[in-house]
Amino acid sequence: MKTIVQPSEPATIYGIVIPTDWDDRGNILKLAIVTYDEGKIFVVPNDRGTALMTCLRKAVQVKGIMRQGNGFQEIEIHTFAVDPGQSDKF
Amino acid sequence: MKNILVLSTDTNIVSPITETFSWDDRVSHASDFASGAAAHNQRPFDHIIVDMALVDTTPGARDIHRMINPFITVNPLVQFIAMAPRDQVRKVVKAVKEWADDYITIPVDPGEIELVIQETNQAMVKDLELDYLRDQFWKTEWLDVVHSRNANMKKIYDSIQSVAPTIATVLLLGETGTGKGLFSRLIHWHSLRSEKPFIAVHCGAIPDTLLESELFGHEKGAFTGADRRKPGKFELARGGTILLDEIGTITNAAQIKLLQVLQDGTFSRVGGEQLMTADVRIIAATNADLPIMVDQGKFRKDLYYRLNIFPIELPRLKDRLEDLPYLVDVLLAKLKAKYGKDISRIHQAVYEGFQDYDWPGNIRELENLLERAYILETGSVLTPANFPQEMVMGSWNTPVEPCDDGQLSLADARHRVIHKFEQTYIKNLLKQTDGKISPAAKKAGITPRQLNRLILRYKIDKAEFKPNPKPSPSTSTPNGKTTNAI
Repeated sequence: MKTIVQPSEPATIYGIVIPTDWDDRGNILKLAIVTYDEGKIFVVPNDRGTALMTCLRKAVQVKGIMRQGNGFQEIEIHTFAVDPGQSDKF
Repeated sequence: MKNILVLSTDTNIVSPITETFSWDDRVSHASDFASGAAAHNQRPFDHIIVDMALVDTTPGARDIHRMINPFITVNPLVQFIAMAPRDQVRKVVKAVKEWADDYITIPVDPGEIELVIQETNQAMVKDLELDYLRDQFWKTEWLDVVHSRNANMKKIYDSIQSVAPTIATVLLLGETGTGKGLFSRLIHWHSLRSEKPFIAVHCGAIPDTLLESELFGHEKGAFTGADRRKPGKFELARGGTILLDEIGTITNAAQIKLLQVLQDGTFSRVGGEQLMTADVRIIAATNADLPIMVDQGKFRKDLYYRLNIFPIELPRLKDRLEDLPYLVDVLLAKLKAKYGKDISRIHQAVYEGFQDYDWPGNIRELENLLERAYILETGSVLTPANFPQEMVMGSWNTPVEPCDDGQLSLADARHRVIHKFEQTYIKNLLKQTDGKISPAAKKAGITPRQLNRLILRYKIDKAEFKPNPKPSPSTSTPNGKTTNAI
């Protein structure tokens, strides 16, 4: 079952930060969080979203506002932290 | 009750250490690694205090992992405590970085020893708990695979635990034989797709002209010989996982189609227009340097980025030699199940050879070598005689030492010595006569026919001794050693 979140509601998600978009030189432009139930939530690329780059390919706990896009979900991040106890979540 | 071993040549150090412990603790002393290991075999120790002076003076102890591996094999949770005089504290700090769990300084302080033993005990309990928690995640049939003493491998297993239940594309990197195929299965079996198909495609083994059709399927009449519609591997793997092994070998056309799958999750059969959804988790594997291939224009940059979402680099066997004893145990257990022979260990000389070998074929090579020796072995221990000579050279080149370890009967041990002696004798003889049979037989005082029989029995290639030897069926290794083809 995929992560279910209400649109425009505060949510906490757990998953791994992955890159989703690159420029021609391979620099990462956008990120997403893949959750432990095979969900994929794109990260809104504001300041906090960009700061998540420091956690690339790491397990994180992210809090923010979820939004429903056209066939995808995205999160505007308020806070995030590396999630060392990620194995408890699945 | 604690069971402690002090490894030191200095008996004066032992007494103050012994006095630190209570009457029900057992403190033993050994003045070299070999006798310490022998005592450990009889009754495994929990803590081993190693005097760095012994490390400095023991030949071969610079390769400390080789010295401590026999202890770890018997008790994987054994805690090593390095010991050195206070003015050599750098030595013990280095030891802690490389192999020891903690350190103490000389002259010994009872309070310090007590604290260190207490802390290493706590570390041991923590290790046990962590192993338990890790094992809760891993499915029972994979528990043998996910065991490692190598810090890098432990991180890899943690990464796999994290990434397995997600949909993230994984790129497995590593030399041939490092276990990329096995790890892709490990990811699949610990994902939410474990009940669905796992399809492995060896891209390098499929002709370029067929690869696109194999992966994505084709419609009837798509090309000459396409007399019916055929589903591709992506369709067969629906709901499951597909492993694209040797991803660096795929054609440009297949790269474009794969990019479409990764970007949009869609594809179409060759010769077809219908767009299909690819409900497949992709794992790619390669031993090629993809960034270089991108620079050379042989691999699409955008495809590389999308495959490199979660890269996992598997280390060479040479870089995780501390796992050798465990890997050998696991592989021997597998061989026992396959062949039913009662062989559960390998000779110490073979271990020594293993430690020095480069392992260009990594774990697959280890598996093959063990299987070959297992088939040939007639005793209860895998002896150097059944391994490539280059590998056990030095440790098994002395014909007067039977590799008995007290395990062989006198007759068997004698037979082995004679076997080895005759083999070495004939090789030396052929070397002197440039591989010529008649003069060699004359020198040996036997007939050419008898010599030929011995050459056949010991599988000696006389061409090797000719002035311009013919190439033998062997594989060169990067360091110049050779591995006989198996």
